[in-house]
Amino acid sequence: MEEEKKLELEEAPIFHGDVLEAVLSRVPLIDLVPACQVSKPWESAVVSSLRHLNPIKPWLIVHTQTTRHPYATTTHAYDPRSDLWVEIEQPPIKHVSVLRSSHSTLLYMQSPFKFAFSFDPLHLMWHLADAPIAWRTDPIVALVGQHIVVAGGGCDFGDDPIPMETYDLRTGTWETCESMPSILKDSAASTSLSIAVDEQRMYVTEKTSGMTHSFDPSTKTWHGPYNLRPGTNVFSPVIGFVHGRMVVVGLIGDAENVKGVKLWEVSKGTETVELREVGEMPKELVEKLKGKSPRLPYIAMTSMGNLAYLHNPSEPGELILCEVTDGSKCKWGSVRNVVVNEVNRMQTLALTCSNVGLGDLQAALSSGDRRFIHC
Amino acid sequence: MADDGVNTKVEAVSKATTETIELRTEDGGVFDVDKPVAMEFLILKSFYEDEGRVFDKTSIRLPNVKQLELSKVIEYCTRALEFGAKSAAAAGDKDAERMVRQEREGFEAEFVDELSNEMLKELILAVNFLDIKEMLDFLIRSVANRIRNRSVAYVRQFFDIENDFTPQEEDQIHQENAWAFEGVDAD
Repeated sequence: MEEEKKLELEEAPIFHGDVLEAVLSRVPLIDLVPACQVSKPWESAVVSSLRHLNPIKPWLIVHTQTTRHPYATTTHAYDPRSDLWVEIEQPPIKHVSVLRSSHSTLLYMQSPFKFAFSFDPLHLMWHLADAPIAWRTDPIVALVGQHIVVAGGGCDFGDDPIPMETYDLRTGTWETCESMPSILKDSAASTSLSIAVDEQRMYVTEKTSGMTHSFDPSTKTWHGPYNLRPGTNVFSPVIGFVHGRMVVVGLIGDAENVKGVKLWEVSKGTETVELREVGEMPKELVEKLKGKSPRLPYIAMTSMGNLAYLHNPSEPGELILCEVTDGSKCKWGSVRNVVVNEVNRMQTLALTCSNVGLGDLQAALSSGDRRFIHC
Repeated sequence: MADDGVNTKVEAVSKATTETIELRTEDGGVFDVDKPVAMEFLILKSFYEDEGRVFDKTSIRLPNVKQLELSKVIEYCTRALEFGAKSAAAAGDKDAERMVRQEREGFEAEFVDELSNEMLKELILAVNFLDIKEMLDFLIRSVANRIRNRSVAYVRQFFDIENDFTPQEEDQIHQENAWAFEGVDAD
């Protein structure tokens, strides 16, 4: 008679523990909000899965605003954790003027009378302040700690340098301060300057020369210049903070003939700065960045945490991602910009990048006037 | 050669038909499973290889697996091995690679479409017990897809979970997350 072999009996099968956490690791963040409410064990499984299996990654948020009345706005967000786009259905952003973004999370609109800005991860809250004292077009705008900084930009009234101004979030008042380095004075921020921010300072890089200055609003002092242009064959350097360090992304060659795109890490000594090449964009992604045009005159970057999102403002159909991990390793990828299609030429595009967590999603949903729709 | 006897014996074995293993399910099903497929079940692989047992014609009883599930598991694993071989053969040829990928995606979509929610859950438990990594990953992704954009009530019912939040705790959550109860796919 054949001997029957029996395998050891495992514990009674229930849907929990490792298997549940593995399932949750595949569930998009927006669907983890209801998952948390299923039961208490599920709530812990969600938290554990996010911590150990598939952590939260910074979202890229694409805002559009039509250029004519009623200036309707749309908001779409890309969640790289699940490679998923969602449309955020919400009340339209009340129009003050053209919607713009600066560094990672700041969205703002400036008119001669009002200055509106928002900086929370999902832009649930908009702050409305009086306009700065001096009116200027396309200035540098940044949020550093508790201060909004407005500087440079163009002015039609005479050649006198426009003073810099800072707005203190705590007191709600504007103050003027020391003029800025002349190299930045007449530059149009949106095309010729790149801005990055850390807890203490705002950094501004002039894209042609790579000359960078930093401003500390608590002491109202400028520092620099530092040369952040990695070489004479590099043009349009843009700066940002990724994986806790300042990085420079630059185009190699010239606008008619871009040979490549590279990423450098900046390390600051006491007197000088050093640039260390850390990654190069794969050729097929460089082609995606160029889009249909053979020219690539400049790029833009927005970053948060370990992720940098790069795009070509003239052809924003493709978004290039660069994830910098431990050991300064670059992982490149791309995603189609769900917002861009032939119909939408008459609109402004503004991109922000934020750490969206479960709490932020819960807060967004609690108002009752927001919905997140899978695209 | 001095080893002639051994060599010819080895040759004879490899030329024979593929070895099979007999698996019995807890509800009386009996399956003759090709050895390569059976070795995808890590619980079997370690039973034999790690513990140095010799393959012989004895039968193995699987206490946690029913015949319907096992037949599905065998179906998936057999096709997965075929796709693996096709993929390897197509390596370097981008068009051929794409064709294999699409064929696989087509098979997987059809495979999972035919599974009821109940069957999907049973399969996950079976595959988790048998320790088949690739299939488990596939099933987990499929379950995650089935609970996307679903209400809390649907998820509870799908997994047969009891709500252990107190009414007060629920009220608080409900207030904070009005959306979770509306605007989702109909149950």
